[in-house]
Amino acid sequence: MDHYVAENGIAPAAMGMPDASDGAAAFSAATLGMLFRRSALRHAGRPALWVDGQSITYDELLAAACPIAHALVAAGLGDGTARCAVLGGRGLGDFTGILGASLARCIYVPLNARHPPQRLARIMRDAEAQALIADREHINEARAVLEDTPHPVLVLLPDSPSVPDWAGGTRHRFLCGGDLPDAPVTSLPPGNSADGAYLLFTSGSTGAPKGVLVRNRNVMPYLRSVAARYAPGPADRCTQLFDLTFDLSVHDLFLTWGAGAALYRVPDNVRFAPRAFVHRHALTMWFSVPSTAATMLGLRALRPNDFPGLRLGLFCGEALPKRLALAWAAAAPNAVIENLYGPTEATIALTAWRLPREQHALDALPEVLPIGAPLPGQAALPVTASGTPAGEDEEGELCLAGSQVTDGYWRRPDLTGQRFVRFPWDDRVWYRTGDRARISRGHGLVYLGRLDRQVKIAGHRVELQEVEAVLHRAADANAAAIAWPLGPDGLARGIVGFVGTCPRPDDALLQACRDALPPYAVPSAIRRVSDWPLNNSGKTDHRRLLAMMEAEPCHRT
Amino acid sequence: MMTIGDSPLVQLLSSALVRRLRQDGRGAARIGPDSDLIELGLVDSQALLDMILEAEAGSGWMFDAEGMDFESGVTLRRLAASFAAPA
Repeated sequence: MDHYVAENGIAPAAMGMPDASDGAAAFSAATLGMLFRRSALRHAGRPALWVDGQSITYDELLAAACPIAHALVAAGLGDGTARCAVLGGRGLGDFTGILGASLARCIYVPLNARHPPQRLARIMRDAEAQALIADREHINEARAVLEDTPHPVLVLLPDSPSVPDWAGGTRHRFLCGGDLPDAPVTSLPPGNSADGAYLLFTSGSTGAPKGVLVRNRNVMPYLRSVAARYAPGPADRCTQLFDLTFDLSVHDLFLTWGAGAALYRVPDNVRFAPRAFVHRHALTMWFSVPSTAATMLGLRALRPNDFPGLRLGLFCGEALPKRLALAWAAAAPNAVIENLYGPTEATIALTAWRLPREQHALDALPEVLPIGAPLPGQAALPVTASGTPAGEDEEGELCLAGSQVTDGYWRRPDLTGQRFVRFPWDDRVWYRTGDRARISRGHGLVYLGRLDRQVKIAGHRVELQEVEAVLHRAADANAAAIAWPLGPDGLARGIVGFVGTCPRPDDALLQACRDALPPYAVPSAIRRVSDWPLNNSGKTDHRRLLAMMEAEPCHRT
Repeated sequence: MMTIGDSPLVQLLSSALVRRLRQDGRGAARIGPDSDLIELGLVDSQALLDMILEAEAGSGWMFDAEGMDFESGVTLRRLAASFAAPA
């Protein structure tokens, strides 16, 4: 149909980037595991990862991941469908765990040790994860999760010398470093594109997280597209800023490693003012949410020519304000800057838009930058409420199709049926994103906001109904959550909870939220509302709650 | 740079932090001037920015992000040491 946005086939040469042909061989692999195997053999002695002050080569990383993979295969979990949770906090153990699972044809399920144990245990149960990998630093968190996991789990503790004392009384089987088999990578199964790659859980509007299984046939087309587009090579040094529960981290790890480049895990402290870190390690590629750049700008740590060595700056995860992109362009004058867009359900990012260099083109840009056009082989199209493709400049719900679109929600056929749909004018399955968009003649796709109450906090998806469900249970009263305040760039900075008449103190309500929600979804304040606002349908009137906030804002400090 | 000692800036930053933690329903009893605020999960990037802006407003001094060694840890003392009088 002529309404489809054309495929985005910008060639690397047109972007002033080096030719990727030398480094792109690994990207023809069918799976993430095979991609790393090929790259590790080809770039064996080159640095693959810098983490916590330690530089690790490809062969060292492979040597650390192989025993994990063999243990999973020996347990019968190397069939492309078994799930292996990886618990940690972006440490070396997480990277080797993810690689071990991928090499074994296991689906990895990342768990952030800073999230509430009951939430992690729920994910273990919902995923029916058969294995869990944890490093020594997170052994206590592993214990808390395993205590609430009713089914037996194979627990791998690769850097632990012995099984912890508490392991004996559990239903789980434990293997420590010395127990893991030592065998070559060549004896591992190769896998195929239908194998699951990773299973991520995002905020769910029904009050519980929902899973998205991404197969290798979804993620490999993405990696091939961005490898061709950005031409990464062994000389590149790439940032790793995303939490491993965030699918943008998959781009970090496997685009870097497929190219034989080096991945630099940026310490949490450094992300506020990373100039010295970027200089010291001569980093060439940056990838973050816009909120990270907003914090840098707020701290005056994003100044002209601060990052002359960067050749690529990518942003994704939330709307990119023009002001931020221009500040970044001035700070990284030699970098191509792109705004990527895509939900987890369509694998990392499905559209891309490049910041022009010409002043007249910059002047013509909207305040929130466009999201561009689909990557090769994908399609993105606003669809009107009547289910027909929107015309030029007509608003619609952005729908996505192509090889990156996943099969649906993990064991949720009801939800899958609502969001993964067919239209009479096309034979593909389209994912309804819930994002409002239009196609602009000059800019391609333009993001206009949400159709529902999902918000982004520092790039993390939060369904406000999930926060409300927790507050409602804790308060046993009317409850609501709104994103507030919007910063000067239009980015939501946090969430405020509202409750009706309720005897429980704020501390107790907030603690209930901390026990159930990831840190970024916990309200920063509670507001009491004695006269609960209802709309004509008898439902909570969120606009009036927002008006209350505007009339009398909460102060965060 | 300002001399630390009993720096009013440490006090300003500390007050902002304690207020925020109390609002979040968390205690601040074990937080000292050398506690690593990020490592302990006490602040996120937005809270850190808010604290710094509040201290700037209260002191009239400016925070110099490039003057601070973030890699060695984000502490009240280090933050305070990175404020300078406006030129």
